[in-house]
Amino acid sequence: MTDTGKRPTRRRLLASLGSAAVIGAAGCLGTRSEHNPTSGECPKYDPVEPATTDWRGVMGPATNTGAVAAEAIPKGDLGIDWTVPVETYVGHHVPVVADDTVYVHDMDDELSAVDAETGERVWTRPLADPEPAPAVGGGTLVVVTNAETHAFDAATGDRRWKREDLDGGIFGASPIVAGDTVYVQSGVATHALARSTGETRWRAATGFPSDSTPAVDGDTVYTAGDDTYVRALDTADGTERWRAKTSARIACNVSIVEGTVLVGTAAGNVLGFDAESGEERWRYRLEPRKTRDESRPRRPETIATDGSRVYVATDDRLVTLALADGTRCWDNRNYAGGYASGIAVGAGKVFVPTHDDGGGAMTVLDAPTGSTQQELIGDKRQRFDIGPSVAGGGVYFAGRSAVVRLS
Amino acid sequence: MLSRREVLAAGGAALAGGLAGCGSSPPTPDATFDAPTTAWPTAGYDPQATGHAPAGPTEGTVSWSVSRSSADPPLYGALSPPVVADGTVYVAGLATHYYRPDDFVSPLAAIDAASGSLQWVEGFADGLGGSPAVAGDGSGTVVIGGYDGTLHAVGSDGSSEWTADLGGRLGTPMAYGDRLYVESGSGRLHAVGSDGSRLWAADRPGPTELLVGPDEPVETTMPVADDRGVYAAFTPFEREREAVVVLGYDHGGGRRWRTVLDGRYGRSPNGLAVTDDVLYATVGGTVYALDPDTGEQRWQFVTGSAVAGPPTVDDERVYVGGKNLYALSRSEGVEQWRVVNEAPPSYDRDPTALPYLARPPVADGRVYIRTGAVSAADGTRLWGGDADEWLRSGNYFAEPYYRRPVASPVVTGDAMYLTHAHHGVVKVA
Repeated sequence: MTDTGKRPTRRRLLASLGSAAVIGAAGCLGTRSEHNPTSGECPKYDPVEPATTDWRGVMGPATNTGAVAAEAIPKGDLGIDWTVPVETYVGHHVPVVADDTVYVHDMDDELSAVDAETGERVWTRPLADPEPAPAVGGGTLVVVTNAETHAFDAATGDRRWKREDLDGGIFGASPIVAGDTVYVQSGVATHALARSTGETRWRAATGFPSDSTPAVDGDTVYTAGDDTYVRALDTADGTERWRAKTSARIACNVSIVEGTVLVGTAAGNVLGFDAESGEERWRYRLEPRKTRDESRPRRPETIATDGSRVYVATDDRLVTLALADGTRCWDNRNYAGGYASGIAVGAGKVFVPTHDDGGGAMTVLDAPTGSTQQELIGDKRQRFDIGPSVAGGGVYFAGRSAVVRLS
Repeated sequence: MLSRREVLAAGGAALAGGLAGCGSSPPTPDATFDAPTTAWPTAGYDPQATGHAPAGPTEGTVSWSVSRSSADPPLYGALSPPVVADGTVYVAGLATHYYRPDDFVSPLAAIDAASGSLQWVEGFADGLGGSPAVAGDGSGTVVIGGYDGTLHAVGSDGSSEWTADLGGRLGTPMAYGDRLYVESGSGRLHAVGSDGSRLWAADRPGPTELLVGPDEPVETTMPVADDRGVYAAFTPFEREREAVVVLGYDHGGGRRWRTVLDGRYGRSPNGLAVTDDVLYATVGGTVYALDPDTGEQRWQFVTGSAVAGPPTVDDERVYVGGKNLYALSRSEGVEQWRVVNEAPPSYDRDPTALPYLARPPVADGRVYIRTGAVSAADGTRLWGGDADEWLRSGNYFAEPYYRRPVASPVVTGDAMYLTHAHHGVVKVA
């Protein structure tokens, strides 16, 4: 069974028209893809309450769910608390937040720590060419540049260690800090480093680069990449517990929740695997992008999950699936995809960057239904293209030479 | 634009093909291949291009090498993998877009397998388009295809025996009994007798041919053959992005089937190999298993690279060199093991910087890559390594070698012979 495009037969075409009519009657948004002829309804919204109130990596917790505890989600409509200029000619990446401190770099020559409450700078230090989002854990801030991997004391900005052999890229994987280990995708391997010293604990080489941020849950790290496989590796020594073949490169982050490992492939598929066995539970094919002559996969860029829904961002839409079986629940066609656009979810709300007639906006969606609760338009001082990160009652975005906190 | 004559010629060929297809059963040439242990006579070893020889060396160090500059004309161009027969190693320097056929003299060299002494080098002013093949009729004749559409037959002393003007840019010929099969750069498959007589030619199918002309160049690969017929592949440039067409013919030129492969990551036909029950095809960086009787797809294995090399196959597994070297189960295409190629991604994150790519010969439970070998059963390294000092020396630029291996080995019972992008022709024994 391949997941590549097939021309619709007359029968399939009729079947898809039939299902579209059914959906229309049911009042769902959009049209169901002809490639996913499931007739099931979206199951009841029943999320799992996460414990985390920080946003420690590009997709929040080391499980990359983008989900935080309800107590960390601001209530009511959001307004801007503060805006901190982070001058840059290059761009920003997703801010990370831990212990009431926001960490952000300018992708050029500077790394900063900002007080989450006041917006005042705690420390600033020079750093050449930081690229993906940082990761923070156990008082250590890890930043991958286009040439090296650095660890700093998160409280002071003092250097702890540096690895001159492990580099990364703006579109590449972000590092993950989990327990006393740092995971970095660099070169043609996954590297597990001691958080305190930066020494390699183990390395697992596939021979291919990976742009996919790995997810860590308990004693297993889940990896993917250009290699096309999803792998479960023992965090102790990198031993492979299982691997599952897909049919295309994987650049999207891996997520793990409720015993299900989630990935999205460049063939336009979102797949759910059993975390214990690696068995494929379901797959959902995103509606291809059709032009006059051809059909191209719509590529999953970011995956988040609250334990009930799977939120998949492509460059132009947010698609929501049921975690249990991959049934599509709702779409949002205003999603503003970019190199560092994300998804955050908690307390039944989904925070995303969106398009607006006047430019970019920040939108809060109702997780069960997908309806818009709030849309906040960017302005000359602030845009919402990079992020969000949600932690400690604040929502953080970056863009247009500034970082902003909303609550 | 297509001329009136070409349209008529195309129509005539199609008519002839139709007649061959529905008339009496096509001729089956006698093609006993006696699996030599002292020769590697064509690029794929046997007509099926299994790359599976009965014997190969168990260890080795460099025995001799012939540098690229030591010959006249020099061994420039993209060096073909060697073929070996009658104690002689033959290597061609192919024209590429770096060695343009309009001002490059392609060498064909004969080297004494025992001593490494250069026996002769012939220059081909119009450029060569594929690897040499030793004719299957026992004559020792070496056949090679020119960029100008001429198939050249050369005696073991380097003298010209015959030429056949087939047209198009010719690729690597394959010897099947007393005939040769070769595909032209227009996607036309030619059957030629060992004496240079033209037996038949089959045009590539499709309506687009009538629009762009039958000689519009396409990408092709060496045909393979078994007693059922001959198999060919080409990329139709005009449409169906990321598609390669694979064709099954009988030995009379009648088409048995046609299959289109979508080829995720790369759309070049990079090699075929056929066994009793499966036709394996590398398209871009993906390996496909097809039913040789119908062309129906059995499985595919996406390596993730945009390019992988020709497959080889033994009784248990299929072997293919992409970025890494893979062993796949024959029945389902499930990866059994891989040899990780540690070459770093280049600055533009192209993982094919220094991939393996070469057709990996398999013999006696060993798979040969670059200058060494691994166990066919589990991929463990038996000897040699990518870190060998001499293999790494040289000024590598990935770009000129894109889609070409750095080192391409073949084996006989007691030695490996390989061409190397910098070191020329090398014997390891």
